[in-house]
Amino acid sequence: MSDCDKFKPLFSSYIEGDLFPEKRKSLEDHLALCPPCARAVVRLKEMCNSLRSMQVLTTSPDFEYKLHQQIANIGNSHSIQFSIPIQNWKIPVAASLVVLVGVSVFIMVNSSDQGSVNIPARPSSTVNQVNPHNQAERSVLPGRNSDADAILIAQDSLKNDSSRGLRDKGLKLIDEK
Amino acid sequence: MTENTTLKRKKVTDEVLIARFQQGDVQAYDTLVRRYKDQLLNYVYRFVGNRNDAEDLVQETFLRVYKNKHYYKEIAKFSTWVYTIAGNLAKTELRRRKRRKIFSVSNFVNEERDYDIPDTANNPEREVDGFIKDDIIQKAIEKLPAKFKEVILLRDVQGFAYEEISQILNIPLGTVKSRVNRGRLKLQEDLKFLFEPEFQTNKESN
Repeated sequence: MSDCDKFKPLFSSYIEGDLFPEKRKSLEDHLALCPPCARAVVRLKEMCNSLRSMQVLTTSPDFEYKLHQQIANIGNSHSIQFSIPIQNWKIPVAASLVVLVGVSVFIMVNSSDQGSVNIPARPSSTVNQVNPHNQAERSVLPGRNSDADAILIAQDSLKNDSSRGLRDKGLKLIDEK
Repeated sequence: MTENTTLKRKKVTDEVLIARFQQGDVQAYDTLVRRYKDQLLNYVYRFVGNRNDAEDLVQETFLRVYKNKHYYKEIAKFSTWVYTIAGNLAKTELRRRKRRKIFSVSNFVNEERDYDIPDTANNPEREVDGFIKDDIIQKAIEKLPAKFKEVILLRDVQGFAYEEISQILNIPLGTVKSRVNRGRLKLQEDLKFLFEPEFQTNKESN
């Protein structure tokens, strides 16, 4: 490492007067003998002065107005952020309620069917006629093309199926006794 | 000197203002904005080299101060906090530009030493013009790597103490000093012709 390279890292501290006396002395001795380093130190000083006195910019006159507008937007976006989760909550809650009510009704209907002994069973021929599992059969029934009719048929058949099940179970119990 | 000291004592400190703002005093926030908007604009502008972008970034800085006021703790100076936010935003902007490859430094700086030998015969007044000189320095600053640029701007343009720079950038004091020195040497190498003593003598004789 040459003397110049050794002293270069001290230039900054030197121009700021931040060197210990011994180091400052040795640097000044070197500068006295080395014109390139002496010039570099002068340039460094000049440059630092120029950096300090660079043109000062000022913000545009509407800077604060724009800032306040942005702050107001934050307020608005906050309210939107609050409303979106609430809306998002409502949809699944409503859907869950619908499903819950549907399941409860289904259970209640089933339990009432099982509980009543007096429900007469339809003849098996009728049951076979409206088999809900047979899509093709259901769709070709004359005069039964609408969805409402299809639902009614399905409900009937479910009732009949469950009644038939109960009837069979009852007959079995009677036989056993 | 005594008058200045008295004035400083009377002036409400930034830390008091941010504490008031944390308790809901919006006027305290406005005072802080007025105190720092120009300083930050100069810092960020020297960093990114575009005035409009700089102003947007300063706006974003104050928005973050507004939104994150409760994150400020009095263990640090307000100036340290706000400069850290602005500096991080400026660095992110530079990285974003680099990624999108829209970052275009003027050819004047990009070309190999195309300003090392000034053509004083053609336009002797050019170099003495303050605005052009500022512009040349600005371009050279932009050319510096970010780690040197930030310390040079904080130390030489903004006038922060080394300890404060160390806190703003969250790097050791020794690293700050070393980077300041290396950054200055690099910058003065790039701006040799502007500050060359012989050139200054020629200019004066002309």
